[in-house]
Amino acid sequence: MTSKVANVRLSEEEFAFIDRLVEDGYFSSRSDFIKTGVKNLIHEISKRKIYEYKENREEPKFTHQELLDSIKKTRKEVYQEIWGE
Amino acid sequence: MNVYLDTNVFLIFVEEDISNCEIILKAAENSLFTPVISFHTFNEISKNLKSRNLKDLAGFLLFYIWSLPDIIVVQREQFRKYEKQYSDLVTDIDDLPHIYAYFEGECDYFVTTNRRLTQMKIRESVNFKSPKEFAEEILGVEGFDTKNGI
Repeated sequence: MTSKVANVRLSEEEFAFIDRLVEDGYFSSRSDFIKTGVKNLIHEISKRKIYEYKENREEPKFTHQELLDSIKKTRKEVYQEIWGE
Repeated sequence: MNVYLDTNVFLIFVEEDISNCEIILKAAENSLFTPVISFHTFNEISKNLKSRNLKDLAGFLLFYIWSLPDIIVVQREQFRKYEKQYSDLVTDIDDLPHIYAYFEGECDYFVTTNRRLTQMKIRESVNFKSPKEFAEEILGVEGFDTKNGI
């Protein structure tokens, strides 16, 4: 995965907090702290969106068996696309 | 403990109100094991949900998976050495990339709802568990009584 640089402006207090955790060995660097925080936030927001879908969806269009069949069908198609067989 | 999570675990978690798949993913979120998937998993989820006009959901589910703690994604280059190994032990050749990822990820268990796969001869080499079996036998929590242990 390629990465890009982002400049983030933080308060002295926030830096002090991060530096303390780095010193204590919880994170290897300030960058490690921020990257972990971003990843955790992405996880939480994604999860929230998935649960929003689960709570608000209409009656399932698929039966359980239809869902399994659709997964099987998708697997076949992806395999053919990737491996050409 | 490395655990291969089949594509159906994620899609059933999304589509079913109650499932053992959800218990398993919560355990993965809490780092109770290291989840392992294949690069095929992302493709299959994306294609499946997009085919049902659920493009936004596909994006969120892919990010959810990608951000699971310490997740291992087995990449295409890692499959090459297998050269159709085990193809005589499965009925559906398209299951092979997931089998290879299981071995490449040095997994202890392969969690799937795919009963057709778990009944093939490959079961002698792969430690298959249904979501319910994994929840109860390995995680030690009471699972839901769902069809096929999903």
